[in-house]
Amino acid sequence: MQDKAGDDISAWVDGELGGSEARFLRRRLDNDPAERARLQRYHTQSAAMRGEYVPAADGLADRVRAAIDAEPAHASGPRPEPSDAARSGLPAWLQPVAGVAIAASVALGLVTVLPMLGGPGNDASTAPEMAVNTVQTGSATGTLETVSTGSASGPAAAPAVVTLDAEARRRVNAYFVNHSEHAAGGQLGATLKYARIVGHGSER
Amino acid sequence: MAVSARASFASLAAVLLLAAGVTTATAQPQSAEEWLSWATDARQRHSFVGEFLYQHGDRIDTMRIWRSVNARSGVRERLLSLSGERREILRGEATVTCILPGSDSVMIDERQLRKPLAARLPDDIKALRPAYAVTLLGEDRVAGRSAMRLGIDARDGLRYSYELWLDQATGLLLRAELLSPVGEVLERLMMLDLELRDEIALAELDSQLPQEGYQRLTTQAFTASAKPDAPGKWQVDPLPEGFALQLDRMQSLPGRDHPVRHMMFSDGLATVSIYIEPEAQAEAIDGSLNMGAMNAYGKTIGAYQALAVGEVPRPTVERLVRALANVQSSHEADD
Repeated sequence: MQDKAGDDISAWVDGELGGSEARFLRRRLDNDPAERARLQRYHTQSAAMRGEYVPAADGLADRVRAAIDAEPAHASGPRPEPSDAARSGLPAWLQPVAGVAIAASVALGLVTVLPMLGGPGNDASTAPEMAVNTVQTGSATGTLETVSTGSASGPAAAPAVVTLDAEARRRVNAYFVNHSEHAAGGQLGATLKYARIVGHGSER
Repeated sequence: MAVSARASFASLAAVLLLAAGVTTATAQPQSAEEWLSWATDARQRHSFVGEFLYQHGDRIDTMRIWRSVNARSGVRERLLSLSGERREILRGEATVTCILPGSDSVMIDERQLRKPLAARLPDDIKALRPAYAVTLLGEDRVAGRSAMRLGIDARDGLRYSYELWLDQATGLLLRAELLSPVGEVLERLMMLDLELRDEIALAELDSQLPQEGYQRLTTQAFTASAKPDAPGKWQVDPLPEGFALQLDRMQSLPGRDHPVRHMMFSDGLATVSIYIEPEAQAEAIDGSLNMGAMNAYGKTIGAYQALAVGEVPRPTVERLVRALANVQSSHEADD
């Protein structure tokens, strides 16, 4: 049997927690290390149930974990980088601290929750002079999604987010793949472009 | 015939680039521009197998890549996901095959071996200057290898900035970060293990994934006399600063039974494609889409659907589509 907080955390991980409940949970997690630890355990379990932890990639997962742990050293160069929390607009304890399995689960769990937790914010990719409507999930989770936008000068009301069905994905993927192939001859080559397509190729 | 000619071109290009590599390998790059040019050549010189992570936001995927540079078969590549559902992309001599369970499909597109951007190298390095500042940021280590770190800073909010870590021994890209106009890391690609190979067996470049039950989407050949579906002269006016038209042609797309107009714009690094097709062919896409840092914006213009897609901020693709117009609806003006 689970308590109310446990149910809420579980619902959050599954992206099923309502707006006001999510805000209340966020305040509680901000102030309670034990609840934060429980959130991480739920993420791990959720990832395992989704089969995201590939046994054959155990060694690789360790190396990913080591690479992530080593990030501050890479970030200490001459160019200042925003903190992990600043990158995503999330509290630091929500960052992928325990390796690939947890990180993937965090992302999946927050797909629908981020707008409620993060509230209205600026899309990281939005230039200041173009105040189009944006949606936080687009830049934070990588979901292939369609966003109904207003005019560039219109009010910044929350846009509707619609998940694409398989047919729509096939149609849109043709654009993305064809563009990536045409652009593959540029300075950066094809690896990042096709890694992006593979990385998002399992989203439904 | 077309495939054969393409393969021959690839072989010739590979031989020439391999020959070029002999000379460039002895000269250590000094400036950021030289490093970037060396890295561009390095992709055509080295065969390797590597494992890397791709990070977007809080999500991480791990992948394995096989890249073969061969004078006979050209450049072939295989990308396989190691985490989550099994996904794979194969870049063969003439085709690109994407096996993506999220769309229940196997998509087969044409390789673009005679790329307009590649043809412009090395002048591209100079072309970057109005839109980007390229600087050396010092030495680092990635995947146990010594790397040189480069910064490519966008001069405005119309495009992304990049940081690249290039292998000091080969020039290969070991790590890349794509940064938003406000400096946030939107995407990260980082090599975890890199094994240089003299040769990669063809069997390693073949798909190992089952494809049963997936819809197979291929391109169709269209004759030059085929009636264009997006006729007339299409124009983006005004173009976002720094961008120039690189390509304007009718072509096929996987899964389409009609040719699509394709216009491509570049600022020397970032590229944006605009695809124009009759709206009646499919349900209109009106608004924004994104896949990682790749943004798209769709809009109905008269009887046509126009969609811009590129590795640029969302407002840039929207600006391109909103500035697009069919300025001369005559077949004589079409190619």
